[in-house]
Formats: sequence, structure tokens, C-alpha cells
Amino acid sequence: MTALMIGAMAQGLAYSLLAWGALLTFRLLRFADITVDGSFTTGAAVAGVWVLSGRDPVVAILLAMLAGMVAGTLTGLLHTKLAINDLLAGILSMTALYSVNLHIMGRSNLALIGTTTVASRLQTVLPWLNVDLAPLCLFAGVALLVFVFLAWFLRTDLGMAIRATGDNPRMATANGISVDAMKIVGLALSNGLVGACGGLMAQHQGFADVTMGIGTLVAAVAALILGESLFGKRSLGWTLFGVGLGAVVFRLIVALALSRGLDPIDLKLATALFVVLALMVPTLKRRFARRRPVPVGVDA
Amino acid sequence: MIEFRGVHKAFDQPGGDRAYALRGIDLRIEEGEFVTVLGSNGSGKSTLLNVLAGSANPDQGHVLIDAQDVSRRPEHRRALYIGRVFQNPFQGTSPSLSVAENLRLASLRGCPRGFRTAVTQGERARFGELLAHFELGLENRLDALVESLSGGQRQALTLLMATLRRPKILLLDEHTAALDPRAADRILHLTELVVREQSLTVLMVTHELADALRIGNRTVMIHRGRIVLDARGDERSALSVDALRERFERLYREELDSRDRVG
Repeated sequence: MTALMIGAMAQGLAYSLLAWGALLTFRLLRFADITVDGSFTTGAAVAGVWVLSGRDPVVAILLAMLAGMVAGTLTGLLHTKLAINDLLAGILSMTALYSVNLHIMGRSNLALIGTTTVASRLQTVLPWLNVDLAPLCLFAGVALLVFVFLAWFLRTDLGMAIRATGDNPRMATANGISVDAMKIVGLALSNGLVGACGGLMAQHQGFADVTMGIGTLVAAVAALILGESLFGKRSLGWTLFGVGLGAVVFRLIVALALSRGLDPIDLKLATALFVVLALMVPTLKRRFARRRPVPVGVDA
Repeated sequence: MIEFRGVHKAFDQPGGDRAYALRGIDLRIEEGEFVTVLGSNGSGKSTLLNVLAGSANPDQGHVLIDAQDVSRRPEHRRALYIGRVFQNPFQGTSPSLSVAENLRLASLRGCPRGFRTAVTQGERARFGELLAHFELGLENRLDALVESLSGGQRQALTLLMATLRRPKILLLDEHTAALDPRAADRILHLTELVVREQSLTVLMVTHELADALRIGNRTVMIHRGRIVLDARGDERSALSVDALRERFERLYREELDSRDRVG
């Protein structure tokens, strides 16, 4: 049970990268970016091929991130330069990436058992870490690093321009911000995080599979919504922190559900249902608010 | 100096017709002029502002800012020269950013944005003073999200943002029309204050005939995409609200007559 929970927490910390990716696109840019279903696998494929050739596992993750950034940039270019709507631009990238991912791997899956991973590298540096704790510490470190980076970046002039772009594109343009450029930067950053996460997960699970990215966006949005509703949005830093924790809570819930007998086949169905329910809440609130009788004799 | 040279602009309408918003506009606005623009709905007065700002490109003709042809320059690359306040108080600010963040964003209008921390202590002090100067009651609410402000406060903030870096021209598109009378008065007062302090060049679209004559030093009337009145100096001082109203009605009648003849 503890091993299971430690594993779930480690995965959750890695997944915080996905949740932050969704925060950048889905929340800040108001761009539902399905590219991530492809770029997650791209990250895994790139990192997998790299370590299989016996090269450095840390570089593998950086390359996975870079590959994700390229994918995000492509979606951004499709959307801004060719005026393809956000969902379709993402679907086109995702579909194209499927072939690209197969080309990178050379087949539909890669076994990475026995290769050097970032976690095993960490274990040689810190020998007291066991097989369960090494990934936990690694992913916690990575999550912290990304958290600090995002908390800083989103408060820079460039980061603020990205936030304003999603918030009010008309105002952003009137202030000299290129809305197109900001969308591309945001998508590149988001998919970079997703690609890195794909690489980390491939090393962690010991395999990369061409279908492993399916459901990435929905899982990321689920973690995002969970984080926001559990921890609130008091400030930018707090929101970031909450969304990262949301991913951990999400993985813990998944682990618990699986251990209590949820068929793994139903996992994506359950995740999708959760997101549907979460998205229903504002609509339901509005409907009930309208039905509430107007108090008589009270000034509004 | 701002110049429109033979500017035409038409829009496709849902039925496949073309709606002619501007039909040969020639207008030269000198440094320091405050031009009020009058016109009925659909006369083309908002299109005039959009063509200058770059939200719409002219089909024909040229738009010049300080003798530079900017007709084909995208909107975000003209922002350096243009300060803008929209009719809708929700359009000029970023609601989920704070007051200070909005001000910082505007202080870099038209400049490259890099990796510097946006809102520093020094900036906060400067913004606090600016807000206090405008008596908005916002100087102690620098960290409040703009979505928590009233329409009037947002419009005042937008005005401040539009003039934070001195623009070559300030575009005001019926910027008080969506406000309650008291807030509208305050915004007009603030507008005059900022314009005087920075001796700005202004193009202000308004529906209020009285405001159009009282404020500024030149009044232009647009009707069906053409300039039908351009008054300044003594000619303008001699104009009354009644005379303007009469002019509007005459234009309207002529239009009805011409339609009858065509029909």
C-alpha cells in the first residue's frame, strides 16, 4: 500500500508538468491544445531512443522537451499563420505526430528495462535512496524546478504578455503585443513541459509506446481543475502550486480507485466523466441561480 | 501629424452586399489638435479610428503617421504611436491581471518585452503616484485584479494606460457612452486633464453634440463615409448644438429623398 502510494505520488509529481502545460494553454491562452496527446509520446520516444543508444539520460529529457517545443510551435504556426482553429490545429499536429513517433521509435514500442535512467543516475549519486524513493525525489526536484521557473516566468514582461493575450487579445494588440507570437511561445512552452514529462515517464515505466499519449489532455485538464478547485486561485504563485498538487491528488485518486478494483480499461472513461462533471458545475450553478426566487421587498 | 489620404473601406455583408464604411476620406490632423468626430450609427466614424489603429486596413488610400505610411503595418506594430480607449470598458484592460500589471503592460506599449520582472518596487511607487494624481482611489489597490473594478474605474485606468507612454495620437471611441452619467463626466474631465498636461493630439468619436462642441478645438462630421463638416476656429465657435442637430436632420432627409428617387 505505501509502495503504491509512493509510486502514485511520484507519478503525480511528474504529471504536474502536464497540469502546468494545461494551465498555460487551456487556462491562460484559452487554447484547448490536443497536440499534447502526440507530444507526450514524442517526448517518450525521443528519450527512449536516446537512452537505448547508451547515451546520457539527462540529455534525453532535455531532447524530449525540445521535441515537444517543436511540436507546440508547429500547432501554433498552423493556428496563427494559416488561421486554422485551435482544436483542429491540435488534431492535425497530433495525427501527424503519430507517424513521426513511429518513425522515431522504428516500431510501435520500446522496452527500456535495464537502461540508465535519470533516477538510477540519482541513485548512484545518493546510494541511500531505494528504487521507490529515487523517482519520488527526482520528480519532486523536477516539479520544484519547473514551479520556480513558471512562477518567475509568468511575472516577467513576456510571461505577462502571454497572460494578457489569452485574457484580452484586443487589449494586448492595442498595447503592441503580437498575439500570434505569444500563442506560439505559450504552446511551445506547454508542449515542452509535456514532452519532458513523456520522457520522464518512459524512463520511469521502462517503456515507450506509440499509444501512451492518448488521453493526456483530458488527464491534464482533470488535474488542473482538481488543483484549482481544491486550492483556489488566491494568487498566481498559489494557483501554480495548487495545480501542481492537483496532479498529485489526481494520481493518488487514480491509484486508490485502481487498488479498489476499478478496471484499468475504465480509467479514461472515468477521467473523462470527471472532467465533464467539473465543466458542468458552472453551468449548473448558473441555472440554479436563475431559478432562485427573487426576494420581495429587498433592495438588490 | 496624422493624415488620411483618399481612404476607402468597405465590408462584406452577410447578404453578399458591400457596405461602404469610408468613401474617400481626406483628413489632416496637426500636432496638438483635439478633433471631435460626430456621425450617426454606421456613418463610418469607428471605421475611421480602426483604419488608423490598424484593426482594419484601407481598401484604397493611405494612412500616415508623422509622414510615414503605416497603411499596411499590422496593428500591434502601430501601437507605439497610438493610445486607445474603447467604448466598452471591458476591452481596454486585462481583467485577470492586477492594476499594477496592467499599467506595466501599457508602459511598454510598442516596446519589446523580455525576461525582466514586470512589476518592480520602483514601478509600484510610480504607478501609485500616477493613480493618486488621477484621484481614482486606486493607489492603494495596485494588487487588485482589474475584474474587481467598476466600469468607470476600468475606463479611467484604460485612459491612464493609453497615455502612460505619450502617444502620437489618442483615439477615443465613444469612451463614455457605456458609463452612467456621473462616471461619464469624470472620465471626460480626466480626458481633458491628461490631454492638457501632455498636450496630446486626439481623435474623439462621440454621440453627444454638446460634448463635441465644448471639448477640443476642431469638429468633424461624417455621414455615409464622407466628411460633411470640418469646423475649427471661429467657424466652430459659431456652431450651436441646435445648428448641428438641424444639419443632421437635413442629411437624414436628403438621404431619404435620394432613396425615394432611386427606388
